Order: sequence, then structure tokens, then C-alpha cells
Amino acid sequence: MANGVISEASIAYKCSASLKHEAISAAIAACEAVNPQVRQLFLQACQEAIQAQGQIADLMVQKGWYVPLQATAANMDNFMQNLQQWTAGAPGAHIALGGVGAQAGGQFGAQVGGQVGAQAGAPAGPQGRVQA
Amino acid sequence: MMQQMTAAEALWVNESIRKAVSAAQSAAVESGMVQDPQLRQFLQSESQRHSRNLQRFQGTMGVASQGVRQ
Repeated sequence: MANGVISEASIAYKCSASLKHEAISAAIAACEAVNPQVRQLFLQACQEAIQAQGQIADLMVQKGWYVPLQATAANMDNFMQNLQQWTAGAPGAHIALGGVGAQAGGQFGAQVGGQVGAQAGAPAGPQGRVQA
Repeated sequence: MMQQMTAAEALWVNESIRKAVSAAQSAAVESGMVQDPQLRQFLQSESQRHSRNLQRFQGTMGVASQGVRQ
């Protein structure tokens, strides 16, 4: 039943959104708490909310109710361009981009470029996912 | 022995109690509405988790309020 499917996906989406808010609220409450027991209480609540959100997100992906978009080669090129611009002249920029001992755009660029390139060249699979 | 609670902490705990009651009830109602067994199970476990949280928060609030009165 189409209505049933939509309603279940909506319930799952709403549940995921509330869990994200719950985790954020608990984290803020933990940060503001002075009493160590209260702090611990909110830390635990935050951790449990994050775990539950992970479970519902997995279920949503499994059921096809949520399809995470994959980064395209164009996205990554744009990202790398911006990153190089923002970090130009910053001390240690070459280390941040390529890892220790690597040149800018070297190790990291090759890994990301390779993965994205392989995905971008492949045909899109079901549900709009790009398959490697 | 629990230290005394600040006003901000009491407000956070109070708000968490209010939200836990509402979330536990809505998760229980929604679990009866869905047909998918995995989603139903998840909603039931969410309802239980919120009920557990409610008890923890109520316990903390109860101990703290006793400390203030003494």
C-alpha cells in the first residue's frame, strides 16, 4: 500500500530528526552542567540518542527510505580548489592537505580523485546511487 | 551524596522529563501504527529507552530536591 509506505518512511524520518535534536540538546545540557552526576546523565543520554539515530539511519538506508548522495568528481574538484585557496599561505597547509611528508594534492588528492573518478565513470545504479 | 543542583541544571532535567514523557508516548503509539516489523521493533525499543531516561531524570530530580530541602 503506497500510503502505508509513505507513512512509515515519514515516521522513520521524523524519528531520526528527533533523535538528532535529542542528541544536540543532551550535549548542550552536559556542557552546561556543573554537577558531575548530572553531566554524566546527559552524556549517557546523548550517547544513547546517537546510537539510536545510527540504528534508524541504517534501517532507512536498508529500506530505501533514505539514499545518501555520493560526492561527484565535480564536488570534490570544487572542494579541493576551495581548500587550497583557504589554506594557501597558512603554516602547515601542505601537511594538512597531503598528510605528513606528502605534497599538497599528493596522497590525499590521488586517493580521493581515484575513488571519485571510478564512481563518476560508472553508470548510476538503482535509487540514483553511483556504483563503483 | 549528590551535590546540589544549579537552577540551569534543574531546568534542563525538567525539560528532559517533559520531552521523555512525550517521546515515550508517541513512540508507543507509532509502533502500533506501522506494519514494518523492524520499524515497529525500533519504535518499541525507543519507547522503552525514553521510559528508562524518564526514570533516570526523575531519580536525579528527586535526589536533588531532597538535598535542597534538607
